[in-house]
Amino acid sequence: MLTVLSPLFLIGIPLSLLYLLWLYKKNTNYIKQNVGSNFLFKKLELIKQKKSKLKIPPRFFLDLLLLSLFFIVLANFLLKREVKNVEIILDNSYSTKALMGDGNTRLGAIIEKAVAEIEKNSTKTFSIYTSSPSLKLIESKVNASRAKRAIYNVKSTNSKSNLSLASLSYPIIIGDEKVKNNVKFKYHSVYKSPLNNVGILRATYNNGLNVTIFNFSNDRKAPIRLVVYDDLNSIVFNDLIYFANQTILTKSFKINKSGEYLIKVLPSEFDAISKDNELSVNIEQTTNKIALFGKRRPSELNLDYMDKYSFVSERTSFTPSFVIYDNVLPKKIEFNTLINLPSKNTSFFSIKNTYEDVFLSSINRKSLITNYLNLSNVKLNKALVFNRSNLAYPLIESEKGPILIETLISDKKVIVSGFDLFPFSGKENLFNSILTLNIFRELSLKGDKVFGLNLPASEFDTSGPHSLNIRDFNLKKSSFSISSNNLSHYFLKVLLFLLLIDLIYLLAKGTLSLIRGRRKALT
Amino acid sequence: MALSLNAETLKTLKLLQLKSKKKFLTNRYGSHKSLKRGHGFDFAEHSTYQPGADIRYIDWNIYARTDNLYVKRFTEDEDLRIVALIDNSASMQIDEKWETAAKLSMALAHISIMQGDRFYSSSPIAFSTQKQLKILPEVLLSQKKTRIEEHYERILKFPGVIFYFSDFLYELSEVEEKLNLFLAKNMDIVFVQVLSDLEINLSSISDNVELVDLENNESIKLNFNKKTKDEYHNLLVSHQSKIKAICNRKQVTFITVNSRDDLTNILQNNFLAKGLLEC
Repeated sequence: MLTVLSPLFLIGIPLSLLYLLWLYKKNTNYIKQNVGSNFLFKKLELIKQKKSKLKIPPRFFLDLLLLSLFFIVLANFLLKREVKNVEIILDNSYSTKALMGDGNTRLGAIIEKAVAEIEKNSTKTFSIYTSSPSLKLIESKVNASRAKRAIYNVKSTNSKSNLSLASLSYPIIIGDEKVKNNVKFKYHSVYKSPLNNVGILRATYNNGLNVTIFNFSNDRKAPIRLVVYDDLNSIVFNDLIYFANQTILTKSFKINKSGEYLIKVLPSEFDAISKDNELSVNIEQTTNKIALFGKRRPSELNLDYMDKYSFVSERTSFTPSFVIYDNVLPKKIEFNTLINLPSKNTSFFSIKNTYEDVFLSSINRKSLITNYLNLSNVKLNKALVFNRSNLAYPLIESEKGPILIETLISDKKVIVSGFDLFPFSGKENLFNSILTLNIFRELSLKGDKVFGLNLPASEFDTSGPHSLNIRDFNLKKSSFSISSNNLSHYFLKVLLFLLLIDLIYLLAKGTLSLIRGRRKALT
Repeated sequence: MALSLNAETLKTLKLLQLKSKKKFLTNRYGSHKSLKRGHGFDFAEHSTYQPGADIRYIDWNIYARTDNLYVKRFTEDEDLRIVALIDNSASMQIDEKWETAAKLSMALAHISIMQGDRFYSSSPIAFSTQKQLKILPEVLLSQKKTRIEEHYERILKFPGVIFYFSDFLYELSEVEEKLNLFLAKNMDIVFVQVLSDLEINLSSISDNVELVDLENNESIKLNFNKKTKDEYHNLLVSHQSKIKAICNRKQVTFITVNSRDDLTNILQNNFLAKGLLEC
């Protein structure tokens, strides 16, 4: 933001005030006019003086504002020019391990770009930061070759963290630097929501195929195309299906014969159906599958095999990051945890003391999500939230972080903690715990099982085109910028333009009055 | 600048007559009713016969009815002294205020001489003939910058009608002082306020103006907008109302003229309308 406390700015304001006062005194032309008597005019002056002691025209204030802004810009401009150090923040979060189309990882691409920029600005010094697990300075004010070496050594972290968290946690101004040229290397998918729908497929020979899709995309009205092929590749079903209440969609249709079917799901805006959108289902067996439908690629998850888990803990670098506890009370609750406990033997708060920074939250029953959440079936008794910043949940009124939810399904108590299913992109993302609740709601209709969900952790959408977004690196462009906010930038430009016009006007007026004065003096 | 009245104004002046609210005693026969009883045409009153009285004026009809002798008395017609004084101060020397006052004086001189009255202008010398009128402009111009206040005693020797031309843009006490002075001389007073168009309407005034007073060279810097102009207008109206109130108390006529206006219009709209002139 603006460096409003810079000394130049502080000096500039009174200076501009004095300058304007002088300018107005100098340039307000009073035309002399002879009158017979000032008798009435004197009285008029008295009346005016009584009404307002300070006689400053409104334009004075406008000019003062413009001039102040001029000083702000000047201060920023001068201060920015002094900085010769470029700061580079590298996103080395878990997601950067993902492979790109060319076989290179995201981090690899980031490093390539960063090195290219370092070479472009080789005369400057560089400070290198990594963003994960937290913003960390790895090199400070080093030359180009050392900066490159440091960048080549950066590795992706295993823990879930991302740049948005890091940049929110830390101000742009770090250490003793007055102004920074922050260079942030961060991945931005071309899609705003790489994954935005969850579908549950149930298929039985008797009942046919039943598809329920929850829509969590930004575009809540976007229809889904559902195409079902039989084993002879004949189309059994092909139709656009629309979300009835913009959120949930249920479609059932009969399939006459048993066997293997291929289901293709894709958003309507894509014409071509690629192999990525395929999901197979065997109609002969009672099938209960959860599919995560992305705009490009669905993932298939078999719920049935989860019954095998009694105690599972898997935390590897590339496999899904989650923990499931069955009949076990953990001493410390991990992120992405499902705890399955018999309800009568356990108390939610009995393990409270072992939690780290846990806060009590409440359910927001005004949330739209609760419309289709069958709360009588799935009792949301308690909800706790870890103290973790920058995550918010509309259903659970807390600003704290990954959620811990206790639910009752049949005679079992299920506690879910922060199922971080989908890639985060700030507020645009759907709220994972709500999704979890929806899945529970759907599954609880069966009423006789307790499920653990083997869902992948975040960043699983590793395919597809990606763009590398490098911001604010161009020093020439950013040197005059006083705010990262484009709107205020343009607003300032307009003000500067007005100021220029105003100054030109004042100068012209002043010059003319000087010429006139000289002419008068000569004559 | 020569002072002259155009032909059309002169033609209008022939139709007009000056009136006075008061009656005066003079020593010349004229066309105005006098306070003097004598041998005029208009019957005034009866008085009891005193030995030595002219028996021609005995009313025999009354004697027949009452056996008492009464003598008829008639109002004498005498001339009127018209005095036109112009405030020669610096404030009147702008925007043709003085010129307008001088022309009005000339017009009054024309009317008074035509009806056989005597006209005085800032000097004890009377103008009573058409021939004398021709030198009036020169006389007036010669007096343009004379302080006439010093000559009041000489000028105002005899009672009559006085027209005092000024802008009256000074304190009310000064106005009252002047009024009392003229009243002490038993004059029928008409105050004519001559203002410029700038003083009445603030026409052609700039937004930012330094107003220089010609009388004392004091200057005031003012920023004019619509509100300020309205306030000035209110001040002017208030000042005029206060002068009018003083004048009404003393049965003095007060009229305001715009120096930009045509002379004929001024005579018709102000002097005729106020009953100072009649056709």
